[in-house]
Amino acid sequence: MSLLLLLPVSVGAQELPQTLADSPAKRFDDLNKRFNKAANGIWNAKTIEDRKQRTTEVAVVTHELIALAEQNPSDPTAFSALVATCNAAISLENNTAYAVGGKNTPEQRAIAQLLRNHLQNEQLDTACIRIGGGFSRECEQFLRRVSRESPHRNVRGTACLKLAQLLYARAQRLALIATRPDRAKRYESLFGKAFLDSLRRREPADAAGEYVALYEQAAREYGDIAIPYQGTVAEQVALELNEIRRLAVGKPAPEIKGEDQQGTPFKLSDYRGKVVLLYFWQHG
Amino acid sequence: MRSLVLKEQKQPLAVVGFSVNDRESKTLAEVMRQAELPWRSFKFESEVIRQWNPSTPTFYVIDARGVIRNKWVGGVGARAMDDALEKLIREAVPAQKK
Repeated sequence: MSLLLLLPVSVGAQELPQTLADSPAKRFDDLNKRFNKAANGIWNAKTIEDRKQRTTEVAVVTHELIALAEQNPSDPTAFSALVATCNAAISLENNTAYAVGGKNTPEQRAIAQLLRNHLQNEQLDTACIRIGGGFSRECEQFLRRVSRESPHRNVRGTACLKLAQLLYARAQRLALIATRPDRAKRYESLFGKAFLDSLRRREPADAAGEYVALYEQAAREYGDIAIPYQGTVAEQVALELNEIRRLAVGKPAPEIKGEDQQGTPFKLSDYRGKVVLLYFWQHG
Repeated sequence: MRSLVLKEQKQPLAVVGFSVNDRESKTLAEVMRQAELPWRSFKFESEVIRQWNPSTPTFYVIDARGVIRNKWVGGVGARAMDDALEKLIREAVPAQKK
C-alpha cells in the first residue's frame, strides 16, 4: 500500500476553511490546537488509516500556517506562525510517511520569510531550535546565515550549535537510508534526488570533519549560552562530541555495568568472544 | 530482532538491550513479558545514558574483541543488520576454534 500522500490542489493561500473575520492571533491559536491534536493523534494512532488521516491534517495545518504568515507579514503573530510552519513541516518529515516535496513547500516559504523579515529578531533562536531538527538544504542554509549574521550573540550561538547537530543527524540518517531503499526513495521525494546525491557523494569523514569543527566552535565561542531543555552549549557539545569520538565505528565499546530485567547484575564485557547487538530501546 | 534471539543459541551472538525508560509504573520484566520481548536487557541507568547519549532506537554492532563495527540511529534495514552480524560471526568463529 502506498503511503504517498497527495494534497488536494486547492489547499493554499487562496482557500482557508477559517473565517477571515478572525484575527491572526485567533487563527494562529486555532491552528496550534489543530496541530497539537493531530500530532498527538499520529503517535497514538491505532490503525494505518487513522495515522494517515492525522498526517493529512498536519499537512493541511502546515499550509494554513504559512498562508496566515504570508497574508499578515507585519502582524506580531507572523513570526510565531513561521516558526510553527517549520516545526509542523519538520515533524511531517521526521515522524510520518509523508513524502510530498518539490518547490515552494511551506517549509521553504517560511524559511525564506524568516530570513527576509526576521534576521534581526532576538527571538530567532526559537526558530533555530525547530529548524535544527530538519534535513533540507534550506534548513542548513538558514542556520549558516543566522550563525553569521544575527546581531544577537545568543541567537548566533544557538544557530551554530543547531547547525552542528543538523549536520551530524543528517550523516546518521544518510547511513540509515543506505540500508533502506524505501526510505531513500522517500527522502529523494521530500528533498530532491539531486540534493540527496550531492550528500551521498561526500566522504563521511569529510562531513564529520565539518560538524566536529562546528561543535568545537560552538563550545569555544558560545559555551556559556543556555539552550532550553539542553543545558549550556558547552555541556551539550561535550555530550555529543563524546558520542561522536568515543562511540564510533572502530573504537572499543565502553563498558556497561548494570542489572537485567530479572535483577541479575551483568556487564557488556561478559559477552567478549561473541558478536553483540546492543540495542537502545524504549517502549510505549 | 526475535529471530536474532533464536540465532543466539547456535552461534557466538548476543542480543543485549538497554531500556531508556526511567519512569515506569511496571517493572522492566513485566513490560518485556507483556510485550513478548525475548532478549536480555539492561535496566535504565542514568550514568550510561549520559555516556552513550542514545536516541531510540540506536543499534551498535560490537565484534568479538569488543570493538564497535556498526552504528545505526533509527530503524535499520533487516538485511543490512543480518549481513553485518553474519560477517562478524564468521570472523569470530575461527578465533573460537583456536
